[in-house]
Amino acid sequence: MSTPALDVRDVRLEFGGLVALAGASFSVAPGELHGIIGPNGAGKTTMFDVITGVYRPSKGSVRLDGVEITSWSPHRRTRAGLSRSFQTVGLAPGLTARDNVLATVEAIEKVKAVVSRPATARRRKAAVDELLAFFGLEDVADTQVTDLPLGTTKLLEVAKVFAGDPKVVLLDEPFAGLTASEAKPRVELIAKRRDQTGAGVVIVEHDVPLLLEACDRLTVLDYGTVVAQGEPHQVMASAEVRAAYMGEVVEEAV
Amino acid sequence: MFEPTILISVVATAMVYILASFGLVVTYRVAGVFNLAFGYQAAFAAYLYWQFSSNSAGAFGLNPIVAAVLVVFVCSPLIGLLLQQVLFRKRQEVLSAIIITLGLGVFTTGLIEKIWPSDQILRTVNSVFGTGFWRVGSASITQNEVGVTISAAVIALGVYLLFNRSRIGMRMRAVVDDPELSGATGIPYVRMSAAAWMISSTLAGASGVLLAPALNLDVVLLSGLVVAAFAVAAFAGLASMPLVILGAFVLAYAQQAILTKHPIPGLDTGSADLTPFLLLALVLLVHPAAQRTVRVVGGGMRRSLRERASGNVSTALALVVVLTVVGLLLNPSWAFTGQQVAAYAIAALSLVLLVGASGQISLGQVAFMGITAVLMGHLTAEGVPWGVALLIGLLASAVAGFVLSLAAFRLRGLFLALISYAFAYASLFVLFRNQDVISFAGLSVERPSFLGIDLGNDRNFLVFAMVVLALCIVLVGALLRGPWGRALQTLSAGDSVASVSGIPVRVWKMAVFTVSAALAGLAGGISATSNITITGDSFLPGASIALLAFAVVGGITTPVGAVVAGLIAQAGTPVMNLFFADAGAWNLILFGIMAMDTTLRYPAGLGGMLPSKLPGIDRVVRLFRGRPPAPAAEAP
Repeated sequence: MSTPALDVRDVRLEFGGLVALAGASFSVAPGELHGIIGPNGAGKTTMFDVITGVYRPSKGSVRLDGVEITSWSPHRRTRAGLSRSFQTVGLAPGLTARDNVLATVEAIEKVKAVVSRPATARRRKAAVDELLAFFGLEDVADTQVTDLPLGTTKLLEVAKVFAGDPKVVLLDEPFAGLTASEAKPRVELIAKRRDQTGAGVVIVEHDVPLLLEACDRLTVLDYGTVVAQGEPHQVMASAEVRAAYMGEVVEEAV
Repeated sequence: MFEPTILISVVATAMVYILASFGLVVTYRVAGVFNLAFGYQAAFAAYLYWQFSSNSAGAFGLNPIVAAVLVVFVCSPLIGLLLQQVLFRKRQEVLSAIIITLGLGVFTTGLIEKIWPSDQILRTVNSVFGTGFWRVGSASITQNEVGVTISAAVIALGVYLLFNRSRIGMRMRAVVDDPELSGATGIPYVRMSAAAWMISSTLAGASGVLLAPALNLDVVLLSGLVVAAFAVAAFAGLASMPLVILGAFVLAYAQQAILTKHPIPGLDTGSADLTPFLLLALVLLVHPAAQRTVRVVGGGMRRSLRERASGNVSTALALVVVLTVVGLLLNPSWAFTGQQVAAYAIAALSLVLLVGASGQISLGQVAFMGITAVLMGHLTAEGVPWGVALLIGLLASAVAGFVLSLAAFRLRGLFLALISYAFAYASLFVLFRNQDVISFAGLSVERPSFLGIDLGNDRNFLVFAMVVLALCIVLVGALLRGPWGRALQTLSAGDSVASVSGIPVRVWKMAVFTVSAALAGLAGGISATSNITITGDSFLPGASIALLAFAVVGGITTPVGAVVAGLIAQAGTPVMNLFFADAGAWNLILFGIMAMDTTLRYPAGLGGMLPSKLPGIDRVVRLFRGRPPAPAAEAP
């Protein structure tokens, strides 16, 4: 088997006495769309925080494309090809849509100059505009983020996460607040972009049916541990998952 | 240990600090406003008390106790309610609240000066508790100190019970814990914040009336109360009651010790005023609770501005040209005003980068100006050429800015603001008021001839200063439009967003503080050279706050806003003097209102009202740039 794009091994994290992650593992192949589900407080966002370096795990390791990155700083991980969106809006309010994405591209390219060479600046702008157009955001490229409706900012975040051709993309509830019919085209766009770039994509989401359709594999987290992993429909069929994730439903069935 | 005379004075001071810190914390925690004007409110109450109780002409001559009760329990709560209704009906962001309360402080100063002009009669305040004293052995204990101690203790106990035992106290604490949740459970934020302001104002009034006999209606001393109160509050992590009491005693004792026993060598008695800042700095840097409370006010303060930091320079450059021409046409005394406008605008530009773009904050910017100015004075006296001295001064300011940025790694919002303010105070006592650095006679910075131009001529120096300003505008404009601007604005969205966007947060914070400090240093160099002589009081910490306020009023997100800030700050008084005989107090009142009003209603500042683009100038700029070259080989 080829090297996974992202490999999380036995990650453990405690806050005081509270165990947020109790030795969870999962891996994402290049080009794989991987869903993570679980009840509130299961450790989904905390898992993202450990992968991106917001928290250091007390045990376990995180590898990006075979490289151990457990002790790296967040921005170094981003520059190495690991990018992430937030549940809350993670954009600079004072910048336009294009400049938000451009800021990431420049950060990844470690730009230090006050003024870029015109040719370089044009190349970057073209790349960003292509990305914005891919996600249907070309019309709002010059609009300041504070003037965008919330749904559009969520989509802009997804686009921003794909800036600079990352190896792994982590999306934290990218469809929150959208109806199923609004979310579906966005999943398709993400899948298509994944096909183009070969990036591994991890999506945390509450909308289970949506992930069942779109994902190659599914991981179910509960109490900071992985309770099931594998092909989405098989995972959802397992009794353990039904108990953990939809306890009430199981009780009714019994 | 101290003798009883001093001991009771320490206790009395500590009790007032406790009152004041309660008052400050109430609005901070319930209404989310750090009230910089708290001390001014206390000063206003002290003057009101004089008005009611004094037997001098024009005063009412009431019984002191009746007067005190009227001021503290009737007037003060009403003032608090009025302030809340006019200024704080909505929750304000950190920076907005700082500017609004600062404007309020300036306004109050002006109002006091207008109603009770300081030059007419000498006002003395009668203590509420009479002038008698008791003898204890060889020492004497005044009735005033005993009265202050007891009444402050009673009021403090009352507030404590109000918060912990009453229904309204309960509900206020719910707002503190979670404003949104408590709103959802039907506790109205507006009513709670009104209650908080009334309590806070009452405590400010009580502090003012109790302190007035000791501080003799000195507005500056009374206004400094806010720092002591906050040092004590921060020491207690803004929460613990026993720690508030301990902190108040530690502070009062330390001040007394420095005053009477161990004055810091080489510094004047003002070093006792530095004690609250030292305590505050210490607490902020090591106290984990103080760090935690950052989250209460955290968040990017740029959100309050909601405006794009724009790198548009054409309007700014046009304004500079107009100002230069006007300055040259008027009589030569206006050339000096023009130089000051240019210097101030450069200082405001340093805040456009730091605050407007990157969402950091500094209330110590004037200290950077002073560092450059002091170095230039000494170096030029040693025969170092003016330009070289300026360069060395800039570097020194940049280094100081770099050091301050280290604090910005850990602190945000209000706490960063306060630590930078503490830095300004420390510089004042260690550098600017140090006789070895600036003598009583002042320090002079000679105007040189530079590149063959005689800058001793006011008009020549005006043109020179304006050219420097124009270059700075172009530089800051380029920074804001390019990769730096994007990185800094991403930084303003918060540390975690920035770092996940691939931006090394520490590097950029260091960069922006360093560059901003260097710009402020440049402003200081120009200003000092324009003034020719600088004194120890040229760089008062209050000037840093004023700079920030002017920058916000002018428009902190754009270069043109910085030029407007320089214009109103430096040309405002001379222009007003043309129309009014006594512009001073009116000036303060007017600017106070302007600062509050702009923050509440025009977040883009006055500069935001000017057209952002001048098409004609843009066309000329494009003409000079020529056509963009054909796509070339990839840059390395």
